Amino acid sequence: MLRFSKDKVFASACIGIAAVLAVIVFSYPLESSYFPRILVVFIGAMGSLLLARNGLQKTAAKAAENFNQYKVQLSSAALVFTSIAAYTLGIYLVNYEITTALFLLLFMLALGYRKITVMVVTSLSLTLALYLIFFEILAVARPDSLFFT
Amino acid sequence: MIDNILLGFATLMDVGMLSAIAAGVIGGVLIGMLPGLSSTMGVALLIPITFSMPPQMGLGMLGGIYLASTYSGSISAILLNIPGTSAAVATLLDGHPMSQKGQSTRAIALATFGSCIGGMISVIALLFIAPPLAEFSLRFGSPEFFLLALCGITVIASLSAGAMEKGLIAGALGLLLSTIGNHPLTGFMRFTADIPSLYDGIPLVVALIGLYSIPEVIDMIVRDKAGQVPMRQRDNANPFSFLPEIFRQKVNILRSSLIGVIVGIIPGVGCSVGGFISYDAAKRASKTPEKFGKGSAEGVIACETANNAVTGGTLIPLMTLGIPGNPVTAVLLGGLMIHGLTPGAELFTLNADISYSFILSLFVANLLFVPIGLFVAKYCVKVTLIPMPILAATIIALAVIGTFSIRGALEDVAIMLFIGAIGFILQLFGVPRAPMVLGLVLGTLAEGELARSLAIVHGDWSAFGMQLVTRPISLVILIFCIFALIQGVMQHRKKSKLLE
Repeated sequence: MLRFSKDKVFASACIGIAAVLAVIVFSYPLESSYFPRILVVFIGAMGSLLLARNGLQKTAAKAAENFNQYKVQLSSAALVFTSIAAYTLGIYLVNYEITTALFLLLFMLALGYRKITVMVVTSLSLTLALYLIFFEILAVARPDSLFFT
Repeated sequence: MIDNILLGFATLMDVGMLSAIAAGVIGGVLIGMLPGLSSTMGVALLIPITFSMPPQMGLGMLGGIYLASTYSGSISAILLNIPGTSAAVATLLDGHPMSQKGQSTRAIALATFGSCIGGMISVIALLFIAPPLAEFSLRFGSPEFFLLALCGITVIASLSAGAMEKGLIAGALGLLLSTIGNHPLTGFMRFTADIPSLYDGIPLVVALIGLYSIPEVIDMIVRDKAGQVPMRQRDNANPFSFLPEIFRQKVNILRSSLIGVIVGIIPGVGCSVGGFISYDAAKRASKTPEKFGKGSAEGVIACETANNAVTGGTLIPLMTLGIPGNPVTAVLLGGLMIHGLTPGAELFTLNADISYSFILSLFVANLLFVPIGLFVAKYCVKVTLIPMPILAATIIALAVIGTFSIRGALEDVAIMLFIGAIGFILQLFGVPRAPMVLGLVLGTLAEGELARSLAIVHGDWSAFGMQLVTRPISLVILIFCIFALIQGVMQHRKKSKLLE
């Protein structure tokens, strides 16, 4: 996908999102939704303009070259999002300290790091540092967990 | 004003305050040196840490991070040929060639002294230009504030990289996200889906952390998979032996500082542009322009002086009119608001002790990054060799706990992930994130002022439109907005032609 076709996808997505949001926002009372109404219409209009402008320009075919890059980006994003979700769930179920140390260890492992000693030392020292900064020095209340509170 | 300056100095005479600034500077130097960690992300991630501090201390720390990270991007640019931050892009042109010639200490020393002087001059400009400008902002009413908020977003959107429509869409998306929660006047709930965490809207810091940390971690992983391995070049000269060389470059430094301050005042232009304009000006004025691009000390001094002079410049519209000049100052605006401070005249009258101590803390930060940059950074450059998996895991752990610490709610991590996903999608499609940040920061102000303006004219849109064109200040802002849009269109056309 080259820049232009990427722009077309983005513009189409904007028009779609603006349409969905318009249905929601136009159901709100007028005096409470002036601003979001203007914004939704504006996003739709800008999306249409971008689509129209790119429709007039040539689209080169270099898709295969960039496809791999997108695959890497999407797989990396999937890893990051699922890791954060699992980490948060871990904090909620188990407890902050155990989950943080485990998350750091497993995330480094997932990213291909294999120096076990460095990983263990980093995980433990970072967990301790974050614990001291947030819960001891800044006096933030520790998250409540179902087990091991 | 003198009283306020003295009051600011008195606040600085506190060990806690000085330690906070020093911690900010050390953190900023490390963040700036690490390619992939932007100043914006550093400030966003560290805002939660400043929560429990007194405002002046928290802001001093954030200011230290901003100045030091802007400067220290040059260290990795010089040593590794990778700019630590976008501000240091122009420094690459001559900084790395100097390093390749075995003059890395000289290049770092000149960059450090230049950054320090440029930063100091810009803080002086901030100290003397900001208060009268803030007083002028007292003449602003609701229509002017509404237009001002839109103007900031328009300017940064039209000058951002990529198609201008994309920047404007990002700005509008940010504004739309800021409307989640109750309406400022009627209290009607919008887009909340009956989720209690959203009743008060999206917490700004949570959004900033999501928008800047998650896409950058993903980007780090992608770049690591692409196999970008930095190389280092070092020599062992005494950095202070290059101090006289700086004084021989008086005109270059003065010119670059002036360019930097002016560029900083113009919203949306940024440190990297300041560096390039100043580099070009120095090359034109140089007796040896042929040396530029091959390791010219004049080039390094020009870029670094200018990009740090931009920092104080960007704070002038931020502190007086609430218009952030770049993404970092947009996040800093969030930091100001979180500490209960509103930009404008009030900041220099009711909260004069905080604003002046903040400005003066920037002086201290500028002075502090000289020893830290020259000595600590020389050894801390090893930090740039930290393996990516350790760095990425650290950022995520910090982002999650930072997000949790704001309201003590784990649900906020879900909000952070949602905003991070939007940030990633924007990055995937080459859409600038800065307009979205500005939209998020200025959205509440824009909607509130629009609602108030409409209430004044009993909801009559034509009367509201007349207000915008008949009030002199709002007319000037409106013209400025249109001018910014036209300039953006012209700039994008020029870029498209160059690409073709």
